[in-house]
Amino acid sequence: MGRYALQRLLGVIPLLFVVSVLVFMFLHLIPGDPARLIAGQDATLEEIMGIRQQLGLDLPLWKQYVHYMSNLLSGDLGNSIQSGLAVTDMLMSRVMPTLWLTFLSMAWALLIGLLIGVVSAVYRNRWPDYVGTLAAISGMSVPGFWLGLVLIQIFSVELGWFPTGGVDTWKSYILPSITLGMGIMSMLARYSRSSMLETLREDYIRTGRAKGMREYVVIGRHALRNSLIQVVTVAGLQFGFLLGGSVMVETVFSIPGLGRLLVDSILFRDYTVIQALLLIFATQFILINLIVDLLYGVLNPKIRYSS
Amino acid sequence: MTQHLLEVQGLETEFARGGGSVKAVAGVDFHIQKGEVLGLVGESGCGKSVTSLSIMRLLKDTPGKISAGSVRFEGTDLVKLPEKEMRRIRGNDLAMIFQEPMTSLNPVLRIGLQLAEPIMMHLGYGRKKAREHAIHMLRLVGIPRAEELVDDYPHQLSGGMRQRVMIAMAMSCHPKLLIADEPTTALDVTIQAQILDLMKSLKEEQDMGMLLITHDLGVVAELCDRVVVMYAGRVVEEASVHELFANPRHPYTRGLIHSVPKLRQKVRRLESIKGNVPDLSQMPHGCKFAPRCEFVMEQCLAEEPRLLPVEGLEERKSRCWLTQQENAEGGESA
Repeated sequence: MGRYALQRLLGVIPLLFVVSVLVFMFLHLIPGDPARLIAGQDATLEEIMGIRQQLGLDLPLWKQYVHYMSNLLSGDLGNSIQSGLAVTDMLMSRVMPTLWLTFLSMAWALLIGLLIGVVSAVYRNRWPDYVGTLAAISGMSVPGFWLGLVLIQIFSVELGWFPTGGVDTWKSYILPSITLGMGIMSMLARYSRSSMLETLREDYIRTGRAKGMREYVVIGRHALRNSLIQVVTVAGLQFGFLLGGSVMVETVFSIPGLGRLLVDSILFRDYTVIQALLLIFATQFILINLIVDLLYGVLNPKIRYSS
Repeated sequence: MTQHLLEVQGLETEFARGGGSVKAVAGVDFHIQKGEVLGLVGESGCGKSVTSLSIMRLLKDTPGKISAGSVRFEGTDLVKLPEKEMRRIRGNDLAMIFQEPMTSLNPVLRIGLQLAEPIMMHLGYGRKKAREHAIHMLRLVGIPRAEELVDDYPHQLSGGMRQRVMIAMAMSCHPKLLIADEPTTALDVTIQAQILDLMKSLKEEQDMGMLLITHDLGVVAELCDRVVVMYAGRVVEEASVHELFANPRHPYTRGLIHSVPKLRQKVRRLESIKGNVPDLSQMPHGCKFAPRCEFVMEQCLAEEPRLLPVEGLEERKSRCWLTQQENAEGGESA
């Protein structure tokens, strides 16, 4: 396992390098002169030159990259064009709400999704399966922004159980996590159902029963772990989409997270902030894939031992 | 009358198919005595595996169910037993090994745990004692380095080794009856012989009955005391292993025996039984073997013969009009 994990970890390094190059190139890929864009339409040439120098745009490209990387590695992501604040500080204050939101959404989506999937598979073509299928398909079909607004209307405005937005208490996270996790939960429910059904047809499940094992042991120990191998892949991919979903949910629930920051900085063409966020989202994707790979190893001895 | 270890009577197993149902097992009778090896022989699709799964009541997750008959194991009818009590018998007094050693072990669990499961469950051993017993069982089935192998995963083992593990698992709670469903079919010929030898010696040591399901007559000759031949979900012939090879009565059995290639005989083509096993939903009306039988008579197409004793011989039965004619002639001349 140690060797397998090390291999995976080392494999991430070239990927991170490519990401850093692409994100660095972002400023140069914008059509036109970024300095001119940043300075605005009625800026003087002097102002533009000043910005160019300030951003180091007058240096050769490779020097700019080295500069960018050394700053990056020392935690300096530049300053916001709009506010002039250090981007690193801006991110630090925004990262926790987003992390909490994605983590909570994923946690309940995994838990409930798996539960629905397993129960549906075990009671295939009986009423628990129909109820589970109905729940999953409804969850999949409901658009997130609509669900968010409906939840606010019912539970915040009418019943007053939860705040309508912000991140003041733990209660603030409940409705946004439900909204954000719903689609993934449904997806996982469907996926774990089909994966579980497939596993339940395997020969070793019959062996388990032929040994006289209790049904919950057969399902919990023998079937679940095998079908998790497939579910983990989907969960990992979905986790990536959570990041996109958080942009919408953070807007609906006015959560001061990274998603909102992205929306705001795009509106204000705050390129340094957008650049930093791109880097964070890409890195996050890579990390999640790394975790999925490591989980494969934990779940499947064949992968662990063949490396 | 002495009680048989296993007595199957009138067993019928139906499978739901396209709104209706078909009988994969249509009234099967046989018995096994203590310490006896009964071979259950027939082509693929004749219902022999379904028979074994019906005895074990392992039809869950298949569309099949037992629709009639009884399976008496030491006098208890397994068909009527509540699932909870059935579970106490499975893997304990009544164990089973399967055809596919490559897929019959759980790929994500260590061998030791998979072996220990029935031991802890049925013998009530603790974790440590169960592990020791598992290692002991692995040694018993001739696995070298057993104490290391318990911590391996199935994919680290060859097919022959895995089948040994399956045998160790089945034997671990000292079953009174072992059902072996094509235990050597998926293995190399050299490994087949090893596994057969192993099963033979274990069976003698433990004085256990065995139901050996196979389509390989070589395996039958090697291991079995008596043989039941199945065709289209029915028993067509029953005989001692010696009688079966020396004097097969049913044309189907003759066909099976003739289709085994012989070393000394030079032939251009291998012998085979013409035609295929009929589809379960399109069974011929009379004798189910009639469309493929070279001795077919009018009577065969009109009415299905019953499984009747062959005159003058004990535990010798055949389901053929010819046998009944011979019986009648034998009766007249006597």
